[in-house]
Amino acid sequence: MRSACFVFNFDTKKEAEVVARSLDPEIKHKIPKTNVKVSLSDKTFTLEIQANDTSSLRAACNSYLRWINTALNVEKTV
Amino acid sequence: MTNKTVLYQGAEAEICLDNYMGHKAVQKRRLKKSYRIKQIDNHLIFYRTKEEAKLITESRSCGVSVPIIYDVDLKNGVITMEYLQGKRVKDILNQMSKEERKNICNKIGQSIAKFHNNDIIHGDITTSNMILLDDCVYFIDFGLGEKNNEIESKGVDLHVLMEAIESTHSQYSDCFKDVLDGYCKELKTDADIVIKKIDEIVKRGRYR
Amino acid sequence: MICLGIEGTAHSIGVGVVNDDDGKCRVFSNLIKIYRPEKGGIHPREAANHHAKYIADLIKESMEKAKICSNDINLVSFSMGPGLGPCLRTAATAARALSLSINKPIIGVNHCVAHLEIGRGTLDDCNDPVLLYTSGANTQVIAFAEGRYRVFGETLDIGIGNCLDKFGRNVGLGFPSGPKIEELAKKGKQYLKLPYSIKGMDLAFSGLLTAAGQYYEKGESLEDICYSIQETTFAALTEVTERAMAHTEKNNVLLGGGVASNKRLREMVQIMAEERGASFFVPTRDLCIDNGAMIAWLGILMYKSGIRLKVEGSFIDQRFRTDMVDVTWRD
Repeated sequence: MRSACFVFNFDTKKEAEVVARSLDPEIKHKIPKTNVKVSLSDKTFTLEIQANDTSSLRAACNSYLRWINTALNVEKTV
Repeated sequence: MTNKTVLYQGAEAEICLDNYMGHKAVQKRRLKKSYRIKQIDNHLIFYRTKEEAKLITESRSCGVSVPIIYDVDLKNGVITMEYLQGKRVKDILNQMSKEERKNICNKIGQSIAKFHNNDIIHGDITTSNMILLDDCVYFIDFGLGEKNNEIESKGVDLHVLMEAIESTHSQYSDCFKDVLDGYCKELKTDADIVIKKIDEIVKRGRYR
Repeated sequence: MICLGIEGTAHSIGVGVVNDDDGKCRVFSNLIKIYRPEKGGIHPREAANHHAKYIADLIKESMEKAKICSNDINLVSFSMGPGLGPCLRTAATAARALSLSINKPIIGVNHCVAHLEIGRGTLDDCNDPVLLYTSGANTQVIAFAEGRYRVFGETLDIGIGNCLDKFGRNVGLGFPSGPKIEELAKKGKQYLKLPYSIKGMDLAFSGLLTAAGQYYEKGESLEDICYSIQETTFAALTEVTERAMAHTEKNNVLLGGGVASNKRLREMVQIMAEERGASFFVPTRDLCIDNGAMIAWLGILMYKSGIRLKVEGSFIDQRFRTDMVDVTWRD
């Protein structure tokens, strides 16, 4: 079992909320061989990923980071 | 060419009333399509007319009632065949007594099994393509037919009929069951495999 | 009602802004960015990275082009499927972020149905068409019957666009190959016989692809091969479309998808329609290819008919079938 933990400190509470809620269906919609846990407290969003092997972990990290980036960029645009 | 009464106009062909050496006859005339180039048009019309005539002849030799073919004109894509002075099963099935209906559906199933025993896929088994005459169910329109031994094709063949019965004879839902009873009785291989295939096709949910 | 739509089912990411003008669709802006792999086919994760990189800028530019600000948007729509998982999930995440940021409702739509609805929405008198939808991955004949959009015929193996691209790649024409094949086909003189594969109402192209490759290896002229590929595949597409029209008794035919740009395909379907006494329709090119405007427009139709979606439940569906859509906006 491999795991990774990301802690994001956002500028505003709204940013953190938008990212967390935008990601929510993708967290529930599982990636094979991977387990994900998230938590939100004020401006801090925590993402924990567990996977069976390193390559699955890497793929999952890339995917979730891509979506966090996407959500954050969109939020900042409008 | 004399003007002929068109009985039915389809996308690919028209059915006309005709006279062949004193017999009342129908002609299936495949239509030229100007959207496709001559080479393709000629080839398709020639090949499909030939295949259809072959399937009709082969169906007869394996014991299914089909119209007698009087003449085949491959170049012009015309099949001249016997006019069946009967009624379309589609129009009379709902009016039958329960016993009659069950009997007819059994016969339909037996005929389909005879097709499949010989790897003939009709391709468009609906009650519009069956004519009841002298207690016999005649099959017409082999335009989508082919020779094929795959379970998938046989399943699709029956599934088309299932959907036709559901839409046209929806109050008589046991009809298809009666068809399958006849089919199982006559089929030489294991009918359960084909019936399982129908379930699979239903689950895939494609509409035809 | 103004809606911003995000399309990201495959190799394109698109954002469109449309307005509902008394039941007709007015397109304010429609921007598309296409991921072009340097070689080979589309890699889903590479395409998703491409979409992630450009989506925020595209949203901004599409609002500028439409001369609206984010407050003017009443609804955010996105393509739920069918398509490539990583691409769909990226577009959906962007749509959720936008919906939450501006505090406006979100709605998810079926990509294939959107191709049909944009024709009905933007073209006069195109009320109840049979759609011939031809793109890279998709080849379907779709029409409204018994309360749903049903698929009357489709490819059993590869999409027509894929078939053209694969042939083009094998002979070194580059991606996308369709326009190059179209140009070469104009110079073709001799028809080389290719498999014409229609099974009932369905089509298949992989046998033809192999046979075309064999002609190339034998040294037949590329112009003749391209000509023969187009004549054969397009005739089959037109035939299946005509059968669906006869079966459903409809007299409108609509083209959609990237291959609808091909003039020979248009000509064939138009001739077929004229001979049947039917009307032929094709949207502008930017509304034929995968685009955000069509996603926005279907979003409006669904929202107006009472459909609602929560951000928390806005899952994508890679295998979202055309006939799964409950068509609440049509009688």
